Amino acid sequence: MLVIFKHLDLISQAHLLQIPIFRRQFSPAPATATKNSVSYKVQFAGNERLKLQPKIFLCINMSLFQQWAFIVKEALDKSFLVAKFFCAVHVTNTYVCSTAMVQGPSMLPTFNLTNEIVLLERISTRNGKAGTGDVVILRSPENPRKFVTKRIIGMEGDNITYLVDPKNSDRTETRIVPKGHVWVQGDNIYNSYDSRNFGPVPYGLLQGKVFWRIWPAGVFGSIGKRPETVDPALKVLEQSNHQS
Amino acid sequence: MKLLFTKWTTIAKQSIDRAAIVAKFLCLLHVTNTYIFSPTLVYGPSMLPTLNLTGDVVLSEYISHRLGKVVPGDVVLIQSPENPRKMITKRVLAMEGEVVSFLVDPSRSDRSRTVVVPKGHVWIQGDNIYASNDSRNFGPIPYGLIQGKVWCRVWPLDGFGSL
Repeated sequence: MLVIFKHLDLISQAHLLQIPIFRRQFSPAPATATKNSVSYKVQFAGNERLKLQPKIFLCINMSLFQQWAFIVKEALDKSFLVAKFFCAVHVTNTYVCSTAMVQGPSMLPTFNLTNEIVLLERISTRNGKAGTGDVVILRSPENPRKFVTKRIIGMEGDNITYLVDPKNSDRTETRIVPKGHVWVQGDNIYNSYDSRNFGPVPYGLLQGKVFWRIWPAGVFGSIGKRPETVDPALKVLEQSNHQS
Repeated sequence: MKLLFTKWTTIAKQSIDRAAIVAKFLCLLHVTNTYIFSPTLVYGPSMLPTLNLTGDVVLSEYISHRLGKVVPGDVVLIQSPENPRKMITKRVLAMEGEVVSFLVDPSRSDRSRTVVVPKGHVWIQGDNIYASNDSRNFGPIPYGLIQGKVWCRVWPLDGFGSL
């Protein structure tokens, strides 16, 4: 790409003067050519726009090997461009912002049962700024290849009171979240496999904070700090958690 | 006036070209360091005598743990479960489902305990069990906290070789 940009000046002049530009090996380089001259024999019609793809006519007296080398070099240049683009996308996805698809019943009613696409940002979790009430994506402590979406209920040092098994009983337990860990729970406590089952999760497993929903279009918007639910059991727990 | 402007644009173009080359090199270095292998400085008493107290430079690779190829006996780099900004180096003693017996506090007593490592977790211990804060203190850690595997030592030179 840089090669083509460097030579746009040259090529525009060739258009005016109809002078072919030869590779160094065939003739001494013109004074204005830089070290990386590429051989293009360019011919333009009157109002052809000089964009980034000059027509290339390979010289007939170039050997087959040189033609092949030329083609390979062009292919490599283009593929480097594609590779650089993918690198940029990957860096953005890993360090800045990324998309994810969430599914499953454990975050109802915040997220639907079927697939939803969300935006997650990776800066807060890296800087330790993820806090209580944030919906985060974390690597499951039981299966390192699986990512789960839950809400942080408590940070290290907090006293958490939670319903152990709300479908079957009213029993609650209270635990202190150890240092370096967070307590995560799904918004749908009746059908969620979370810290009540696998315990507090080390902060290092958090991958990113979900901050925006982008699909389906009907639910485009930000995510609140509290689960959108009118479950009275959850309200009682929230009050006790905030008081302690 | 126009000459000055052209001169300035040429200089600007050249400097942008050079800066782009440096940026590309740094990108490549960063990708290699994060995803392939990189030199790491490890220090502390918890891996004596394998690793020195004052610091060794080791080459650590970041491919095996992504492929699930970490086995007991490997020295690994992990993100500490107690402080996510700290990286610690310990040896993996047991994978999920295995039974591990360990001395709870060898400098004070002979008491030992036996634990089954839960699913998705690994048991890590420092080689120097008398001075190591490891799974005997904070329990088995999730596999997802493993960041890399230590491969060989490159400094000090008389300790050169694989670990």
